[in-house]
Amino acid sequence: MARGSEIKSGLRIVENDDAQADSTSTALSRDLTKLGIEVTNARLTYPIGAYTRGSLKSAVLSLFGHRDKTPKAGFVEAIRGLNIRIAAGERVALIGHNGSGKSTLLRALAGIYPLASGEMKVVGRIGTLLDIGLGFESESTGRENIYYRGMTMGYSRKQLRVAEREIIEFADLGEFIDLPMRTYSSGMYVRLGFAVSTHFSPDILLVDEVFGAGDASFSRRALERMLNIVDNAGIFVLATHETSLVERVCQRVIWLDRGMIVRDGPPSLVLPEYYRYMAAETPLP
Amino acid sequence: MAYVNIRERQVPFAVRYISDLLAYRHLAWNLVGSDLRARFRRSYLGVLWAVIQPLAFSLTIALVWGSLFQAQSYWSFAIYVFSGMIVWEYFASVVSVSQDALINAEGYLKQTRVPFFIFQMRTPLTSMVIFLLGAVGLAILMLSLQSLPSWGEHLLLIPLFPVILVFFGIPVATIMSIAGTQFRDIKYISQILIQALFFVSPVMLGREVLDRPELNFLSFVNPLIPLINMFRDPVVNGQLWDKTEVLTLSFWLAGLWVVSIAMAVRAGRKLIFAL
Repeated sequence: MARGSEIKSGLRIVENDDAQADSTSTALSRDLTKLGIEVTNARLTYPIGAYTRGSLKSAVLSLFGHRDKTPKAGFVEAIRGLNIRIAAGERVALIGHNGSGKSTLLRALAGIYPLASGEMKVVGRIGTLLDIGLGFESESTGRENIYYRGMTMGYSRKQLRVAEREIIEFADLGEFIDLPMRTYSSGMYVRLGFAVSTHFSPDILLVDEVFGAGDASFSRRALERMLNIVDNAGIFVLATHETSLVERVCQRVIWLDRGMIVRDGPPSLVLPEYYRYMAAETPLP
Repeated sequence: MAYVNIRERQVPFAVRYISDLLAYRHLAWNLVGSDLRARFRRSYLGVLWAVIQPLAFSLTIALVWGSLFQAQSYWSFAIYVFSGMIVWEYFASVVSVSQDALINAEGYLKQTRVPFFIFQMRTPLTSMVIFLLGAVGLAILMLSLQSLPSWGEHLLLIPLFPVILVFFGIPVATIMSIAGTQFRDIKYISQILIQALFFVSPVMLGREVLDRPELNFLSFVNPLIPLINMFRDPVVNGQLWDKTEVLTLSFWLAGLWVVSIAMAVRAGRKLIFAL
Protein backbone atom coordinates (compact mmCIF):
# COMPACT_ATOMS: atom_id res chain seq x y z
CA MET A 1 0.00 0.00 0.00
CA ALA A 2 2.82 2.32 0.89
CA ARG A 3 4.24 1.98 -2.57
CA GLY A 4 0.94 2.83 -4.15
CA SER A 5 0.62 6.10 -2.38
CA GLU A 6 4.20 6.80 -3.16
CA ILE A 7 3.44 6.45 -6.84
CA LYS A 8 0.39 8.58 -6.47
CA SER A 9 2.20 11.41 -4.76
CA GLY A 10 4.78 11.17 -7.50
CA LEU A 11 2.11 11.50 -10.12
CA ARG A 12 1.00 14.91 -9.17
CA ILE A 13 4.50 16.26 -9.47
CA VAL A 14 4.88 14.74 -12.89
CA GLU A 15 1.67 16.29 -14.03
CA ASN A 16 2.68 19.71 -12.85
CA ASP A 17 5.93 19.93 -14.69
CA ASP A 18 4.87 17.88 -17.64
CA ALA A 19 6.43 20.16 -20.21
CA GLN A 20 9.75 20.04 -18.51
CA ALA A 21 9.53 16.33 -17.98
CA ASP A 22 9.11 15.76 -21.69
CA SER A 23 12.35 17.41 -22.61
CA THR A 24 14.36 15.80 -19.85
CA SER A 25 13.04 12.32 -19.64
CA THR A 26 16.27 10.87 -18.29
CA ALA A 27 16.21 13.19 -15.33
CA LEU A 28 12.69 12.01 -14.65
CA SER A 29 13.53 8.36 -14.95
CA ARG A 30 16.26 8.68 -12.35
CA ASP A 31 13.67 9.54 -9.76
CA LEU A 32 12.56 6.13 -8.61
CA THR A 33 9.42 7.22 -6.85
CA LYS A 34 7.81 8.56 -9.99
CA LEU A 35 7.99 5.50 -12.17
CA GLY A 36 5.68 2.62 -11.76
CA ILE A 37 2.92 0.39 -12.96
CA GLU A 38 -0.17 -0.17 -10.91
CA VAL A 39 -2.84 -2.53 -12.12
CA THR A 40 -6.02 -2.82 -10.08
CA ASN A 41 -8.75 -5.36 -10.76
CA ALA A 42 -8.03 -5.22 -14.45
CA ARG A 43 -10.34 -7.16 -16.72
CA LEU A 44 -9.87 -7.27 -20.46
CA THR A 45 -12.26 -8.94 -22.85
CA TYR A 46 -12.01 -9.53 -26.54
CA PRO A 47 -15.37 -9.12 -28.17
CA ILE A 48 -15.81 -12.03 -30.51
CA GLY A 49 -19.47 -11.67 -31.34
CA ALA A 50 -19.76 -8.15 -32.58
CA TYR A 51 -16.49 -7.96 -34.42
CA THR A 52 -15.48 -11.25 -35.87
CA ARG A 53 -18.93 -12.37 -36.81
CA GLY A 54 -20.52 -9.00 -37.15
CA SER A 55 -22.16 -8.35 -40.45
CA LEU A 56 -23.96 -5.45 -41.90
CA LYS A 57 -27.02 -7.62 -42.27
CA SER A 58 -27.35 -8.28 -38.58
CA ALA A 59 -26.62 -4.65 -37.78
CA VAL A 60 -29.30 -3.38 -40.14
CA LEU A 61 -31.81 -5.97 -39.02
CA SER A 62 -31.21 -5.15 -35.39
CA LEU A 63 -32.16 -1.58 -36.18
CA PHE A 64 -35.62 -2.88 -36.91
CA GLY A 65 -35.76 -4.80 -33.68
CA HIS A 66 -34.73 -8.06 -35.24
CA ARG A 67 -32.90 -10.34 -32.86
CA ASP A 68 -30.13 -12.60 -34.04
CA LYS A 69 -31.25 -16.19 -33.81
CA THR A 70 -27.78 -17.47 -33.12
CA PRO A 71 -26.86 -16.56 -29.58
CA LYS A 72 -24.18 -13.86 -29.31
CA ALA A 73 -20.82 -15.48 -28.80
CA GLY A 74 -19.97 -12.62 -26.45
CA PHE A 75 -16.50 -12.18 -25.12
CA VAL A 76 -13.32 -14.01 -24.44
CA GLU A 77 -11.86 -13.03 -21.13
CA ALA A 78 -8.17 -12.55 -21.72
CA ILE A 79 -7.39 -10.94 -18.38
CA ARG A 80 -9.48 -11.59 -15.31
CA GLY A 81 -9.11 -9.39 -12.30
CA LEU A 82 -5.39 -8.79 -12.27
CA ASN A 83 -3.70 -6.90 -9.47
CA ILE A 84 -0.09 -6.13 -10.14
CA ARG A 85 2.26 -3.49 -8.87
CA ILE A 86 5.65 -3.00 -10.44
CA ALA A 87 8.11 -0.53 -9.00
CA ALA A 88 10.97 1.27 -10.69
CA GLY A 89 14.01 -0.86 -11.42
CA GLU A 90 12.10 -4.14 -11.47
CA ARG A 91 12.78 -6.68 -14.21
CA VAL A 92 9.67 -8.76 -14.56
CA ALA A 93 9.08 -11.84 -16.68
CA LEU A 94 5.60 -12.97 -17.70
CA ILE A 95 5.42 -16.69 -18.29
CA GLY A 96 2.64 -19.11 -19.03
CA HIS A 97 1.03 -21.17 -21.75
CA ASN A 98 0.10 -19.78 -25.13
CA GLY A 99 -3.10 -17.88 -24.61
CA SER A 100 -2.48 -17.28 -20.94
CA GLY A 101 -2.72 -13.52 -21.43
CA LYS A 102 0.93 -12.49 -21.48
CA SER A 103 0.87 -10.56 -24.73
CA THR A 104 -2.53 -9.12 -23.97
CA LEU A 105 -1.27 -7.82 -20.65
CA LEU A 106 1.71 -6.18 -22.33
CA ARG A 107 -0.54 -4.51 -24.87
CA ALA A 108 -2.84 -3.32 -22.13
CA LEU A 109 0.12 -1.88 -20.25
CA ALA A 110 1.19 -0.09 -23.40
CA GLY A 111 -2.27 1.46 -23.62
CA ILE A 112 -3.01 -0.30 -26.87
CA TYR A 113 -5.83 -2.53 -25.64
CA PRO A 114 -8.57 -0.90 -23.61
CA LEU A 115 -9.65 -2.55 -20.37
CA ALA A 116 -13.18 -3.74 -19.86
CA SER A 117 -13.02 -2.76 -16.22
CA GLY A 118 -10.51 -2.03 -13.53
CA GLU A 119 -7.72 0.44 -13.63
CA MET A 120 -4.21 0.72 -14.91
CA LYS A 121 -1.78 3.42 -13.96
CA VAL A 122 1.45 3.62 -15.83
CA VAL A 123 3.90 6.39 -15.11
CA GLY A 124 6.75 6.82 -17.52
CA ARG A 125 7.66 6.91 -21.15
CA ILE A 126 6.83 3.57 -22.68
CA GLY A 127 8.91 1.74 -25.25
CA THR A 128 7.43 -1.34 -26.87
CA LEU A 129 8.73 -4.27 -28.80
CA LEU A 130 5.60 -6.28 -29.20
CA ASP A 131 5.58 -7.82 -32.63
CA ILE A 132 8.61 -7.73 -34.82
CA GLY A 133 6.86 -7.51 -38.15
CA LEU A 134 4.48 -4.79 -37.08
CA GLY A 135 4.82 -1.09 -37.58
CA PHE A 136 7.06 -1.15 -40.61
CA GLU A 137 6.30 -0.07 -44.14
CA SER A 138 7.67 -2.97 -46.15
CA GLU A 139 8.01 -0.91 -49.34
CA SER A 140 10.10 1.71 -47.57
CA THR A 141 13.76 1.39 -46.73
CA GLY A 142 15.06 0.63 -43.27
CA ARG A 143 16.28 4.20 -42.98
CA GLU A 144 12.84 5.59 -43.76
CA ASN A 145 11.29 3.17 -41.33
CA ILE A 146 13.47 4.47 -38.52
CA TYR A 147 11.63 7.73 -39.00
CA TYR A 148 8.17 6.16 -39.21
CA ARG A 149 8.70 4.05 -36.12
CA GLY A 150 10.28 6.92 -34.23
CA MET A 151 7.43 9.19 -35.18
CA THR A 152 4.81 6.74 -33.97
CA MET A 153 6.60 7.05 -30.67
CA GLY A 154 6.03 10.80 -30.90
CA TYR A 155 9.52 11.97 -31.82
CA SER A 156 10.15 14.69 -34.35
CA ARG A 157 12.09 14.45 -37.57
CA LYS A 158 14.79 16.62 -36.02
CA GLN A 159 15.24 14.36 -33.00
CA LEU A 160 15.36 11.35 -35.26
CA ARG A 161 17.90 12.90 -37.57
CA VAL A 162 20.20 13.25 -34.59
CA ALA A 163 19.54 9.68 -33.53
CA GLU A 164 19.63 8.11 -36.98
CA ARG A 165 23.35 7.32 -37.15
CA GLU A 166 23.45 5.68 -33.75
CA ILE A 167 20.34 3.62 -34.46
CA ILE A 168 21.81 2.38 -37.72
CA GLU A 169 25.06 1.57 -35.99
CA PHE A 170 23.31 -0.45 -33.32
CA ALA A 171 21.10 -2.31 -35.78
CA ASP A 172 24.22 -3.07 -37.83
CA LEU A 173 22.42 -3.91 -41.06
CA GLY A 174 25.15 -2.86 -43.48
CA GLU A 175 23.91 -1.75 -46.90
CA PHE A 176 20.51 -3.27 -46.17
CA ILE A 177 19.57 -0.10 -44.35
CA ASP A 178 18.87 1.55 -47.71
CA LEU A 179 16.92 -1.37 -49.16
CA PRO A 180 13.16 -1.85 -48.85
CA MET A 181 12.25 -3.75 -45.71
CA ARG A 182 10.51 -6.48 -47.65
CA THR A 183 14.01 -7.75 -48.48
CA TYR A 184 14.88 -8.16 -44.79
CA SER A 185 15.12 -11.39 -42.87
CA SER A 186 13.14 -11.71 -39.66
CA GLY A 187 16.33 -11.26 -37.68
CA MET A 188 16.92 -7.94 -39.40
CA TYR A 189 13.41 -6.81 -38.53
CA VAL A 190 14.13 -7.50 -34.90
CA ARG A 191 17.43 -5.64 -34.98
CA LEU A 192 15.96 -2.54 -36.48
CA GLY A 193 12.86 -2.65 -34.30
CA PHE A 194 14.88 -3.11 -31.18
CA ALA A 195 17.37 -0.40 -32.12
CA VAL A 196 14.64 2.19 -32.64
CA SER A 197 12.44 1.17 -29.71
CA THR A 198 15.24 1.31 -27.20
CA HIS A 199 17.27 4.19 -28.56
CA PHE A 200 15.47 6.85 -26.60
CA SER A 201 15.83 4.93 -23.33
CA PRO A 202 12.19 4.47 -22.46
CA ASP A 203 11.34 4.46 -18.77
CA ILE A 204 9.29 1.34 -19.25
CA LEU A 205 10.27 -1.27 -21.80
CA LEU A 206 7.66 -3.85 -22.74
CA VAL A 207 9.01 -6.74 -24.77
CA ASP A 208 7.16 -9.69 -26.22
CA GLU A 209 9.25 -12.73 -27.09
CA VAL A 210 11.52 -11.41 -29.77
CA PHE A 211 15.05 -12.34 -28.92
CA GLY A 212 15.02 -15.67 -30.65
CA ALA A 213 15.27 -14.10 -34.06
CA GLY A 214 18.49 -12.12 -33.71
CA ASP A 215 21.89 -13.82 -33.92
CA ALA A 216 24.08 -14.43 -30.91
CA SER A 217 26.16 -11.27 -31.04
CA PHE A 218 23.11 -9.10 -31.47
CA SER A 219 21.26 -10.85 -28.66
CA ARG A 220 24.16 -10.08 -26.37
CA ARG A 221 24.21 -6.41 -27.29
CA ALA A 222 20.44 -6.23 -27.01
CA LEU A 223 20.52 -7.75 -23.57
CA GLU A 224 23.23 -5.32 -22.56
CA ARG A 225 21.18 -2.38 -23.66
CA MET A 226 18.08 -3.68 -21.92
CA LEU A 227 19.93 -4.11 -18.69
CA ASN A 228 21.29 -0.64 -19.15
CA ILE A 229 17.78 0.73 -19.38
CA VAL A 230 16.78 -1.12 -16.26
CA ASP A 231 19.88 0.08 -14.47
CA ASN A 232 18.75 3.60 -15.16
CA ALA A 233 15.86 2.87 -12.86
CA GLY A 234 13.53 1.84 -15.65
CA ILE A 235 11.03 -0.97 -15.67
CA PHE A 236 11.40 -3.96 -17.91
CA VAL A 237 8.58 -6.39 -18.58
CA LEU A 238 9.27 -9.39 -20.77
CA ALA A 239 6.79 -11.99 -21.94
CA THR A 240 8.63 -15.14 -22.86
CA HIS A 241 8.80 -18.91 -22.96
CA GLU A 242 12.56 -18.86 -22.64
CA THR A 243 13.08 -19.60 -18.99
CA SER A 244 16.87 -19.49 -19.26
CA LEU A 245 16.56 -15.86 -20.25
CA VAL A 246 14.21 -15.27 -17.35
CA GLU A 247 16.73 -16.71 -14.91
CA ARG A 248 19.50 -14.56 -16.28
CA VAL A 249 17.67 -11.27 -16.56
CA CYS A 250 14.65 -11.03 -14.33
CA GLN A 251 14.34 -10.90 -10.60
CA ARG A 252 10.61 -11.39 -10.59
CA VAL A 253 8.38 -13.83 -12.42
CA ILE A 254 4.64 -13.58 -12.89
CA TRP A 255 3.12 -16.85 -14.03
CA LEU A 256 -0.17 -16.35 -15.79
CA ASP A 257 -2.80 -18.86 -16.67
CA ARG A 258 -6.08 -18.03 -18.40
CA GLY A 259 -5.68 -14.39 -17.52
CA MET A 260 -5.07 -14.91 -13.83
CA ILE A 261 -1.93 -14.93 -11.75
CA VAL A 262 -0.83 -18.37 -10.65
CA ARG A 263 2.40 -17.33 -8.93
CA ASP A 264 4.22 -14.07 -8.49
CA GLY A 265 7.70 -14.13 -7.01
CA PRO A 266 11.43 -14.54 -7.57
CA PRO A 267 12.48 -16.97 -10.32
CA SER A 268 14.09 -19.34 -7.82
CA LEU A 269 10.68 -19.97 -6.30
CA VAL A 270 8.34 -19.73 -9.27
CA LEU A 271 10.31 -21.45 -12.02
CA PRO A 272 10.78 -24.87 -10.36
CA GLU A 273 7.09 -25.06 -9.78
CA TYR A 274 6.43 -23.97 -13.35
CA TYR A 275 8.75 -26.65 -14.73
CA ARG A 276 7.05 -29.27 -12.65
CA TYR A 277 3.68 -28.17 -13.89
CA MET A 278 4.78 -28.05 -17.54
CA ALA A 279 6.46 -31.46 -17.36
CA ALA A 280 3.75 -33.34 -15.56
CA GLU A 281 0.73 -31.28 -16.50
CA THR A 282 -0.26 -31.54 -12.89
CA PRO A 283 -3.20 -29.39 -11.90
CA LEU A 284 -2.37 -25.77 -11.25
CA PRO A 285 -1.06 -25.08 -7.77
CA MET B 1 -12.56 1.44 -16.67
CA ALA B 2 -9.55 3.46 -17.37
CA TYR B 3 -6.09 3.41 -18.71
CA VAL B 4 -4.08 6.30 -17.45
CA ASN B 5 -0.58 7.05 -18.39
CA ILE B 6 0.02 9.89 -16.04
CA ARG B 7 2.62 11.36 -18.31
CA GLU B 8 -0.27 12.22 -20.54
CA ARG B 9 -2.14 15.14 -19.15
CA GLN B 10 -5.80 14.71 -18.27
CA VAL B 11 -7.48 17.15 -20.59
CA PRO B 12 -10.78 17.55 -22.44
CA PHE B 13 -11.34 15.68 -25.68
CA ALA B 14 -10.88 18.62 -28.02
CA VAL B 15 -7.68 19.82 -26.39
CA ARG B 16 -6.39 16.28 -26.45
CA TYR B 17 -7.18 15.99 -30.13
CA ILE B 18 -5.27 19.15 -30.98
CA SER B 19 -2.28 18.24 -28.85
CA ASP B 20 -2.16 14.74 -30.34
CA LEU B 21 -2.40 16.29 -33.76
CA LEU B 22 0.59 18.48 -32.99
CA ALA B 23 2.54 15.65 -31.40
CA TYR B 24 2.05 13.32 -34.33
CA ARG B 25 2.10 15.83 -37.18
CA HIS B 26 5.47 14.51 -38.31
CA LEU B 27 4.05 11.04 -38.57
CA ALA B 28 1.02 12.25 -40.49
CA TRP B 29 3.11 14.05 -43.11
CA ASN B 30 5.53 11.20 -43.42
CA LEU B 31 2.73 8.73 -43.99
CA VAL B 32 1.51 10.97 -46.77
CA GLY B 33 5.01 11.12 -48.21
CA SER B 34 5.32 7.37 -47.98
CA ASP B 35 1.97 6.90 -49.72
CA LEU B 36 2.98 9.20 -52.53
CA ARG B 37 6.33 7.55 -52.94
CA ALA B 38 4.78 4.09 -52.88
CA ARG B 39 2.23 5.18 -55.45
CA PHE B 40 4.72 6.41 -57.98
CA ARG B 41 7.70 4.29 -57.11
CA ARG B 42 9.06 2.11 -59.87
CA SER B 43 7.22 3.97 -62.61
CA TYR B 44 9.15 5.94 -65.19
CA LEU B 45 6.93 8.97 -65.26
CA GLY B 46 6.44 8.91 -61.51
CA VAL B 47 4.47 11.80 -60.16
CA LEU B 48 3.56 12.96 -63.68
CA TRP B 49 0.92 10.24 -63.71
CA ALA B 50 -1.15 12.34 -61.35
CA VAL B 51 -1.42 14.84 -64.20
CA ILE B 52 -1.47 12.45 -67.15
CA GLN B 53 -4.20 10.18 -65.79
CA PRO B 54 -7.03 12.72 -65.50
CA LEU B 55 -5.79 14.47 -68.63
CA ALA B 56 -5.95 11.32 -70.72
CA PHE B 57 -9.32 10.43 -69.26
CA SER B 58 -10.90 13.78 -69.88
CA LEU B 59 -9.50 14.03 -73.40
CA THR B 60 -10.87 10.60 -74.24
CA ILE B 61 -14.26 11.37 -72.78
CA ALA B 62 -14.36 14.73 -74.45
CA LEU B 63 -13.48 13.15 -77.76
CA VAL B 64 -16.14 10.47 -77.49
CA TRP B 65 -18.83 12.63 -75.93
CA GLY B 66 -18.03 15.61 -78.08
CA SER B 67 -18.29 13.66 -81.29
CA LEU B 68 -21.34 11.73 -80.14
CA PHE B 69 -23.48 14.61 -79.03
CA GLN B 70 -21.65 17.59 -80.45
CA ALA B 71 -23.29 19.50 -77.71
CA GLN B 72 -20.28 21.46 -76.60
CA SER B 73 -17.05 22.36 -78.21
CA TYR B 74 -14.52 19.62 -77.79
CA TRP B 75 -11.84 21.49 -75.84
CA SER B 76 -14.01 23.32 -73.39
CA PHE B 77 -15.69 20.06 -72.63
CA ALA B 78 -12.28 18.52 -71.93
CA ILE B 79 -11.66 21.26 -69.37
CA TYR B 80 -15.10 20.67 -67.91
CA VAL B 81 -14.48 16.94 -67.49
CA PHE B 82 -10.94 17.43 -66.18
CA SER B 83 -12.02 19.88 -63.50
CA GLY B 84 -14.82 17.59 -62.36
CA MET B 85 -12.65 14.51 -62.58
CA ILE B 86 -9.97 15.59 -60.12
CA VAL B 87 -12.53 16.47 -57.46
CA TRP B 88 -14.33 13.22 -58.10
CA GLU B 89 -11.09 11.23 -57.93
CA TYR B 90 -10.39 12.81 -54.56
CA PHE B 91 -13.74 11.71 -53.20
CA ALA B 92 -13.62 8.25 -54.75
CA SER B 93 -10.15 7.47 -53.44
CA VAL B 94 -10.96 8.78 -49.96
CA VAL B 95 -14.00 6.52 -49.80
CA SER B 96 -12.37 3.41 -51.20
CA VAL B 97 -8.95 3.61 -49.57
CA SER B 98 -10.07 4.83 -46.16
CA GLN B 99 -12.13 1.72 -45.49
CA ASP B 100 -8.88 -0.09 -44.95
CA ALA B 101 -7.15 2.80 -43.20
CA LEU B 102 -7.23 1.23 -39.75
CA ILE B 103 -6.84 -2.31 -41.01
CA ASN B 104 -3.68 -1.35 -42.88
CA ALA B 105 -2.41 0.57 -39.88
CA GLU B 106 -2.66 -2.49 -37.66
CA GLY B 107 1.12 -2.64 -37.43
CA TYR B 108 1.32 0.80 -35.92
CA LEU B 109 -1.81 0.62 -33.82
CA LYS B 110 -0.83 -2.67 -32.19
CA GLN B 111 2.72 -1.55 -31.51
CA THR B 112 2.30 1.78 -29.75
CA ARG B 113 -0.45 3.96 -28.42
CA VAL B 114 -0.89 6.10 -31.53
CA PRO B 115 -4.12 8.03 -31.98
CA PHE B 116 -6.30 6.44 -34.64
CA PHE B 117 -7.12 9.67 -36.39
CA ILE B 118 -3.59 10.06 -37.72
CA PHE B 119 -4.32 7.08 -39.94
CA GLN B 120 -7.80 8.28 -40.75
CA MET B 121 -6.33 11.54 -42.05
CA ARG B 122 -3.84 9.71 -44.18
CA THR B 123 -5.87 9.23 -47.36
CA PRO B 124 -7.58 12.64 -47.34
CA LEU B 125 -4.16 14.30 -47.11
CA THR B 126 -2.52 12.08 -49.71
CA SER B 127 -5.42 12.51 -52.09
CA MET B 128 -5.21 16.24 -51.49
CA VAL B 129 -1.68 16.30 -52.86
CA ILE B 130 -2.82 14.26 -55.86
CA PHE B 131 -5.66 16.72 -56.32
CA LEU B 132 -3.25 19.65 -56.27
CA LEU B 133 -1.07 17.94 -58.85
CA GLY B 134 -4.16 17.40 -60.94
CA ALA B 135 -4.99 21.08 -60.53
CA VAL B 136 -1.57 21.93 -61.91
CA GLY B 137 -2.42 19.73 -64.89
CA LEU B 138 -5.70 21.58 -65.30
CA ALA B 139 -3.88 24.90 -65.22
CA ILE B 140 -1.53 23.66 -67.93
CA LEU B 141 -4.44 22.47 -70.05
CA MET B 142 -6.25 25.79 -69.64
CA LEU B 143 -3.08 27.75 -70.39
CA SER B 144 -2.38 25.78 -73.52
CA LEU B 145 -5.97 26.25 -74.67
CA GLN B 146 -5.80 29.92 -73.70
CA SER B 147 -9.07 29.67 -71.85
CA LEU B 148 -7.96 31.21 -68.59
CA PRO B 149 -10.51 32.20 -65.96
CA SER B 150 -11.68 35.77 -66.13
CA TRP B 151 -10.20 38.30 -63.72
CA GLY B 152 -12.23 39.09 -60.62
CA GLU B 153 -12.88 38.54 -56.95
CA HIS B 154 -13.95 34.94 -57.58
CA LEU B 155 -10.25 34.10 -57.97
CA LEU B 156 -9.91 34.65 -54.22
CA LEU B 157 -12.13 31.62 -53.67
CA ILE B 158 -9.73 29.25 -55.41
CA PRO B 159 -7.25 28.78 -52.52
CA LEU B 160 -10.19 28.15 -50.16
CA PHE B 161 -11.29 25.13 -52.09
CA PRO B 162 -8.51 22.69 -51.06
CA VAL B 163 -9.25 23.54 -47.43
CA ILE B 164 -12.92 22.72 -47.92
CA LEU B 165 -11.94 19.54 -49.70
CA VAL B 166 -9.85 18.34 -46.75
CA PHE B 167 -12.58 19.27 -44.28
CA PHE B 168 -14.93 17.23 -46.42
CA GLY B 169 -12.53 14.33 -46.80
CA ILE B 170 -11.53 13.80 -43.18
CA PRO B 171 -14.98 13.00 -41.75
CA VAL B 172 -15.79 10.86 -44.79
CA ALA B 173 -12.55 8.94 -44.25
CA THR B 174 -13.21 8.59 -40.52
CA ILE B 175 -16.69 7.22 -41.08
CA MET B 176 -15.52 4.86 -43.80
CA SER B 177 -12.57 3.61 -41.75
CA ILE B 178 -14.71 2.78 -38.73
CA ALA B 179 -17.48 1.23 -40.80
CA GLY B 180 -14.97 -0.63 -42.94
CA THR B 181 -13.27 -2.09 -39.90
CA GLN B 182 -16.47 -3.31 -38.32
CA PHE B 183 -18.29 -4.45 -41.42
CA ARG B 184 -16.17 -5.82 -44.18
CA ASP B 185 -19.21 -5.80 -46.49
CA ILE B 186 -18.80 -2.05 -46.80
CA LYS B 187 -16.23 -2.56 -49.53
CA TYR B 188 -18.77 -3.98 -51.94
CA ILE B 189 -21.58 -1.68 -51.01
CA SER B 190 -19.47 1.43 -51.39
CA GLN B 191 -18.23 0.29 -54.79
CA ILE B 192 -21.77 0.13 -56.05
CA LEU B 193 -22.72 3.42 -54.44
CA ILE B 194 -19.71 5.21 -55.86
CA GLN B 195 -20.53 3.99 -59.33
CA ALA B 196 -24.09 5.10 -58.94
CA LEU B 197 -23.03 8.44 -57.53
CA PHE B 198 -20.75 9.04 -60.49
CA PHE B 199 -23.71 9.14 -62.83
CA VAL B 200 -25.53 11.75 -60.81
CA SER B 201 -22.49 13.94 -60.28
CA PRO B 202 -21.53 16.72 -62.65
CA VAL B 203 -18.28 15.13 -63.76
CA MET B 204 -19.30 14.33 -67.31
CA LEU B 205 -22.89 15.34 -66.85
CA GLY B 206 -23.58 18.88 -67.95
CA ARG B 207 -24.75 21.24 -65.25
CA GLU B 208 -27.90 22.04 -67.18
CA VAL B 209 -29.00 18.41 -66.87
CA LEU B 210 -28.80 18.44 -63.08
CA ASP B 211 -30.44 21.85 -62.92
CA ARG B 212 -33.65 20.51 -64.44
CA PRO B 213 -36.46 20.91 -61.91
CA GLU B 214 -37.19 17.18 -61.67
CA LEU B 215 -33.52 16.45 -60.88
CA ASN B 216 -32.97 19.46 -58.69
CA PHE B 217 -33.37 17.45 -55.48
CA LEU B 218 -30.11 15.68 -56.34
CA SER B 219 -28.06 18.75 -55.54
CA PHE B 220 -29.20 18.43 -51.91
CA VAL B 221 -28.86 14.66 -51.72
CA ASN B 222 -25.51 14.40 -53.43
CA PRO B 223 -22.81 16.54 -51.77
CA LEU B 224 -20.58 16.03 -54.78
CA ILE B 225 -22.76 18.37 -56.82
CA PRO B 226 -22.10 21.50 -54.74
CA LEU B 227 -18.53 20.36 -54.14
CA ILE B 228 -17.64 19.98 -57.81
CA ASN B 229 -19.52 23.12 -58.78
CA MET B 230 -17.71 25.10 -56.12
CA PHE B 231 -14.44 24.10 -57.69
CA ARG B 232 -15.59 24.86 -61.22
CA ASP B 233 -17.34 28.14 -60.60
CA PRO B 234 -14.28 30.29 -59.90
CA VAL B 235 -11.78 28.24 -61.90
CA VAL B 236 -13.63 27.40 -65.10
CA ASN B 237 -16.79 29.47 -65.17
CA GLY B 238 -15.23 32.61 -63.74
CA GLN B 239 -17.97 33.28 -61.25
CA LEU B 240 -18.59 33.34 -57.49
CA TRP B 241 -20.01 30.41 -55.57
CA ASP B 242 -23.74 29.82 -55.64
CA LYS B 243 -25.21 30.70 -52.24
CA THR B 244 -27.55 27.73 -52.11
CA GLU B 245 -24.72 25.37 -52.89
CA VAL B 246 -22.51 26.87 -50.20
CA LEU B 247 -25.34 26.42 -47.72
CA THR B 248 -26.02 22.85 -48.84
CA LEU B 249 -22.38 21.89 -48.53
CA SER B 250 -22.15 23.54 -45.11
CA PHE B 251 -24.99 21.36 -43.89
CA TRP B 252 -23.28 18.32 -45.29
CA LEU B 253 -19.99 19.23 -43.66
CA ALA B 254 -21.61 19.83 -40.28
CA GLY B 255 -23.50 16.56 -40.53
CA LEU B 256 -20.48 14.56 -41.57
CA TRP B 257 -18.37 15.96 -38.75
CA VAL B 258 -21.02 15.28 -36.13
CA VAL B 259 -21.51 11.71 -37.35
CA SER B 260 -17.80 11.00 -37.64
CA ILE B 261 -16.96 12.35 -34.18
CA ALA B 262 -19.87 10.46 -32.66
CA MET B 263 -18.72 7.26 -34.34
CA ALA B 264 -15.10 7.77 -33.30
CA VAL B 265 -16.01 8.48 -29.69
CA ARG B 266 -18.41 5.56 -29.53
CA ALA B 267 -15.96 3.08 -31.03
CA GLY B 268 -13.00 4.35 -29.02
CA ARG B 269 -9.96 2.16 -28.79
CA LYS B 270 -12.15 -0.93 -28.80
CA LEU B 271 -11.86 -0.92 -32.58
CA ILE B 272 -8.42 -2.43 -32.11
CA PHE B 273 -10.02 -5.78 -31.38
CA ALA B 274 -11.64 -5.78 -34.78
CA LEU B 275 -8.37 -5.43 -36.64
